[in-house]
Amino acid sequence: MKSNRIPSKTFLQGGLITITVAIVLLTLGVSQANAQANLVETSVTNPPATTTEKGHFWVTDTVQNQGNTNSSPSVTQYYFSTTGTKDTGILLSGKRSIGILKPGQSSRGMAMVTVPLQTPIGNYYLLACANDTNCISSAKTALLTAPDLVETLVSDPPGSVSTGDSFPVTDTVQNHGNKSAPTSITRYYLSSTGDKDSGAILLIGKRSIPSLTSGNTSTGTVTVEIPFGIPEGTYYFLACADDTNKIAESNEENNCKASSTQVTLPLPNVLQITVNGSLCSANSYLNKPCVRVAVCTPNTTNCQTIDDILLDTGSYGLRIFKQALKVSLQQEMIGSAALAECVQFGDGSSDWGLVEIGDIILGNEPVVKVPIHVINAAFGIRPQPCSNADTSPAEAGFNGILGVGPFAPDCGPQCTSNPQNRLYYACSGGICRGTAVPLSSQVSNPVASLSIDNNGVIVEIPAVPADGSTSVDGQLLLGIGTRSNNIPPASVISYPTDENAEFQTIFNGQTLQSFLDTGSNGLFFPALSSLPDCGSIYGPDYSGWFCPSSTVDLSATNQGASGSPSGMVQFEIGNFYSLINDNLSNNVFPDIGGGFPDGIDWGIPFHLGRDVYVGIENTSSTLGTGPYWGY
Amino acid sequence: MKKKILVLIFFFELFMLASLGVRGAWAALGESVESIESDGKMLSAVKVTSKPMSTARANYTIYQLEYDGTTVREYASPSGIVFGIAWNGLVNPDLTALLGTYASEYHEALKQTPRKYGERHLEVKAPHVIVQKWGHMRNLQGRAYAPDLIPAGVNVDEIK
Repeated sequence: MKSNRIPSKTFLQGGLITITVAIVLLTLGVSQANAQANLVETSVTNPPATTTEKGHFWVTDTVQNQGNTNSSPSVTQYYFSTTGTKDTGILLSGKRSIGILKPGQSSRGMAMVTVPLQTPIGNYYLLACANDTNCISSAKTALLTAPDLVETLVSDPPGSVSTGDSFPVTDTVQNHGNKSAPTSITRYYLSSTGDKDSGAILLIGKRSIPSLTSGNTSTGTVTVEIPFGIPEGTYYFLACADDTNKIAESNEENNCKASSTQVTLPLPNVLQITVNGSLCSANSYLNKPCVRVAVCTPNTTNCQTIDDILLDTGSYGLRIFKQALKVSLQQEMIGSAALAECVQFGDGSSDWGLVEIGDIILGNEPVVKVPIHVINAAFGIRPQPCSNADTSPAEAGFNGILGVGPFAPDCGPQCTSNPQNRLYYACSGGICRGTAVPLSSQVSNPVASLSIDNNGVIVEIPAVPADGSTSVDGQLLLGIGTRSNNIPPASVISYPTDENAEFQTIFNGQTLQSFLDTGSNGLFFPALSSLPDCGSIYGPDYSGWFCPSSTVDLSATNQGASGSPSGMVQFEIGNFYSLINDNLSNNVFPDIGGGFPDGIDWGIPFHLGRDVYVGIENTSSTLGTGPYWGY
Repeated sequence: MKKKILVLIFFFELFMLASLGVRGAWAALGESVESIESDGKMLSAVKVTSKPMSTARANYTIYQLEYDGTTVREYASPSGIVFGIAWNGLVNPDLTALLGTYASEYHEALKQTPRKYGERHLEVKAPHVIVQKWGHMRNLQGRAYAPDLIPAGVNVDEIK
């Protein structure tokens, strides 16, 4: 049994011999087939001493077939390599095709090669690689050079700016590279770190830089604008050369330079108010508070800023003359009819036009989408209440009105079911009939639509001397107690109002309905014997204003709509005629007032030197639930 | 205060409807309440939207009516002549109808009245009628009166 399992030794030996013979024969056969071509680079010329990205030059090299049989046609490729070896090489464009070479035969030829873009600056050997395999390195290297645009000077920004502001900047670009730079674009950023990092904010405005030879500079001044939507904070101002990255530079990391000083952007809930200042049109009437708003085509970045907007706590909603509006808005519809509105004001004037939906930006707040009133006396057939509608900003005295009083919709519940409310009209083909309007379609105070700062506003305007001031700047803060900059001090008292935004004032023994109103330019109340009307003394041009022989000190007690709380207010009324004619360059006066048939209208003089809080209906703050006035 | 007056007015209305038979009265300034009561043409022209209410004072009677969403109060002398009109509401009423024969001189005087920028009130003085408007959004007010027609002892400021 055992022997059966072991092959005979003879068989085993014979088999080994057979395998050995076969291996020897196989080896000989392979050796015969391996008699092949062997393409080797035997020479290559040196590259030029310097070159650039996209630089091109001729190479002469020699390929020899050091094999023992004909080579197939092949291609010689060329590389730049800082080490002289192909594995670290950068393939140059340009190659040479080699035909069949007999054993020992050489091919010497020329090829035009080009250095690719993005090749780093450095010293490069030129490699020629036969069949892209066997390489030879040049003896000398080429220095790769490039332009290098560097911002060498940048002016400092203003200490503080608001979104939408513009300011001039001056900067200098120099080409530090050893090659000419073609034309380029310098752009500008705000950066909290001083670097052009992912948080850097591109500003509006750029500078075109001409072609700069090595070492040359370009200095220029452009105006840049702060776009909307920038977070509050402190930023460096950056100028960045070749910011569109059009030029391959030897150093792409040194394009930007930061200002030495920083610029502060305020919290987003701040609008500048200028009373007869830079935001007002020339020749504005006395005591006129102006703000700037931005209006955008809904859901786009197609925006414009509009100045000379009257800040009005006596109305609700944004109204802008069509003449001042450049961006298109979206028509508000009632069924298939276009919604239009006629609003009247206490001075007997009226504004007529379509109600359109716009994206509104207040300060640096996020966009709010609200119906606004596009004032256009030329639209359709005007209803009777707008028979005297204002036709232009010049006629009205402003480009528009920002109504930020203590209500959201301008009409409110009185217009939601009664089509004969005489404010709202549904128009088809220019023919308009009265219509009821849901609250959501009424022209509305845009502050009430803000996500955070929607519970009211604070009007802050500094005091001015009794004989007036040319102008005075203040601010409108959005929200009450919603951010670090709008927390009411404990001394503020809030006075609840009724459904007409009125509270009460006890004055001269009478209890009167009263209201606060930045849209009124004086203190208006029932006349006293000590306060003669200017018209009776100085003629009809001055009628309606008080002209006492000397300034009169007065006091009144304000109280909430239902009687509490209450607080005394002291004020002065001077001689309107003398004040304005003795101070001809002044436009803001704290002591001017006039007659009011019934009630008290606390206009701009009340607000000078007094922070006024306006609480919007159905919202709350530490001052209570709106509607209320507080100060 | 206003609510009390309204309640008062309501009871006076009941009283007047019962005892004096006042109904649907409306008159332009200077016209007679009595004569207008039967003037269907004028009534249709001004679209009185609710029944007027009236209340009696010492030397005049107040008729209150709703007129296109505006509350209008007419002040009639004991002889029934409307000497003053006051209103408040979302908009000012169409004064052309309310001023009657005084309308043309009012409109003429209005043209001569310079605009008062930044103010919330307006006074138009015509030879025989004075019109004042004032107020703010949601509560525009005004009054018109013929000084020559004001009964003795009545203060203009009572018209409101």
